[in-house]
Amino acid sequence: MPTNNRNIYIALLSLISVTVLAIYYGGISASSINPFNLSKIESVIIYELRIPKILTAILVGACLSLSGHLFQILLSNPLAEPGLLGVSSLSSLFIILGAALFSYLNIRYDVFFLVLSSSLGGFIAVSIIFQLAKVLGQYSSAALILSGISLTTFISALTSWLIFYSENDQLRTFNLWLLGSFEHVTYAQLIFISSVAVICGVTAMYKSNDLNLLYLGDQNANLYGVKVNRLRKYMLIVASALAACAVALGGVIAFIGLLVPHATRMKFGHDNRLILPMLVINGATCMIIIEWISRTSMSLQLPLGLVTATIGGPFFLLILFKHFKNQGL
Amino acid sequence: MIKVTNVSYKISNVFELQDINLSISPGVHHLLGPNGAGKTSFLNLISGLCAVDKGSIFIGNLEVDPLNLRALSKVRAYLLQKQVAHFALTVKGMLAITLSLTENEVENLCIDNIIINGLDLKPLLNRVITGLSGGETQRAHLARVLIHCAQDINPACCLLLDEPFTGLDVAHKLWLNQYLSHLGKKIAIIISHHELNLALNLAQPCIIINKGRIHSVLSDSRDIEITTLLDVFNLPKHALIETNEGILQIIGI
Repeated sequence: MPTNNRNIYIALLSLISVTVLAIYYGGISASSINPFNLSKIESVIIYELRIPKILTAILVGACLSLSGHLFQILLSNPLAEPGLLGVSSLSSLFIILGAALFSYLNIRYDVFFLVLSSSLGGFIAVSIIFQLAKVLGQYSSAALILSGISLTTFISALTSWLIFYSENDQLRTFNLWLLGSFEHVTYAQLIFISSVAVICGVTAMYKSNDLNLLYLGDQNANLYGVKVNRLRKYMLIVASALAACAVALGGVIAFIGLLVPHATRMKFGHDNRLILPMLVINGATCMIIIEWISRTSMSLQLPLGLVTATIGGPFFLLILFKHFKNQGL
Repeated sequence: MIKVTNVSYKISNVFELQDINLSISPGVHHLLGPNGAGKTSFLNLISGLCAVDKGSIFIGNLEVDPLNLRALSKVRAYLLQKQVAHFALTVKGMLAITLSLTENEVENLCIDNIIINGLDLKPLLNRVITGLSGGETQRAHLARVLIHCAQDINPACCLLLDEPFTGLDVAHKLWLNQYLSHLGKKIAIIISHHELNLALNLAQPCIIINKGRIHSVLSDSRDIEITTLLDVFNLPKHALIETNEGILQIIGI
């Protein structure tokens, strides 16, 4: 399909140019760096500070938008999002609990355990929501979203209590991370988490035909030969693992999982064979821009959650007004 | 072509399909019965959406079993009574997904397709399914299901339609009947519906189902007797007339 290939190339090109811009342009407080004439300090800034953050942004953006899109299809609910379903908040609670446990036991909190506890939290959140929604109203979308919101609220409160009353300095630093921050991400973390994310992404793309048929409802998908229950179970695991990866790297970043899939589907259609790679690219581009704004627009670093919420809210309203009136999501 | 042997299926504690034995050859079969007679459950069983409690169903040589879903999807098509749409797919996108084609290939397919022309679907191809009216939605999904059974695209041998006439305007109803009569020469078609006058007019086989049991199977729907209409469908006697050609009709519907 030549037009669709062209779309992917354009998206890739914009991703690359945004990346390059974000690496070299420093903003108000930091200077721009000439790529062809790096001094020693400048190369340290680029390789130790900027590139890890940008790689994190790419990974987090791709994970969040993929996982948001998957949740939306799997729960047949265009409003689903890891942040809204309680997946992100329970993941972050588990990361904090894990950190507390490991510091109590005096074991190093390795990146492997970080992702493990985060994923565990994600799975538990999904299963709790599923049980709640089943009891409340046979998986109806309103029941799913409402139980997700109540879970999110409660878990966030629990996390805040925990941080508020903890003596541990390490736990207190989590407060900043919870609002979304790419500080302290190491190359080791990046390598491990990106391999998990790649496995999840490839699995989703491999199943894109089956995911497509889910758009027509469970029964129709069944009629076209999709084993819906099994697909839903495995893909929910994939989606929560992706969300957990994003949380493990950058904390709770709202709206990306909702905004990027919607905007992408409105622009490029619903076919997962095309949309999934597109989501990865668009999510990454968006996240780089947000990270770049948070790093450069003020003299101090802004929390990413603040930037996404500030830009995301009005932008989402705009999309709603443009499309919801006569078409639905 | 479809063989149903000793099938029972429990729908709820108080209602079940019992002892269904049927053998359905190619042709258009009307599945008639009052609300809650078990028509949709029966179609769900034949399509493989629900698994039988007892007995067996075969489509051709293939046993209907949830384990065979992938193979079943090639030999039968089923139009559900209700369609759900949570996402704003275009009609073209929907066809592309179900046919595993790209949108451009679907466009080429639609240029001169008897089903697309018959259901006047060309103006709807770029509309989103969540924004269609009731009748338009029905036409879009009908086209999806009929294309799945079009012999030059997918040689399926069984077509199940659950209330396909809902929302269709008269012209499209007429086209659908003609198309199905034509298609019925090759494959087995079961249509569940409430258009009794239509069934009474057409000399096509019909299956009358009531309270979870098969009431009668007729090879010519014009043979439906007055007592059946009175008992099964609870019609008052004064609503029935006989036309000059000797065909029963229900007046006032």
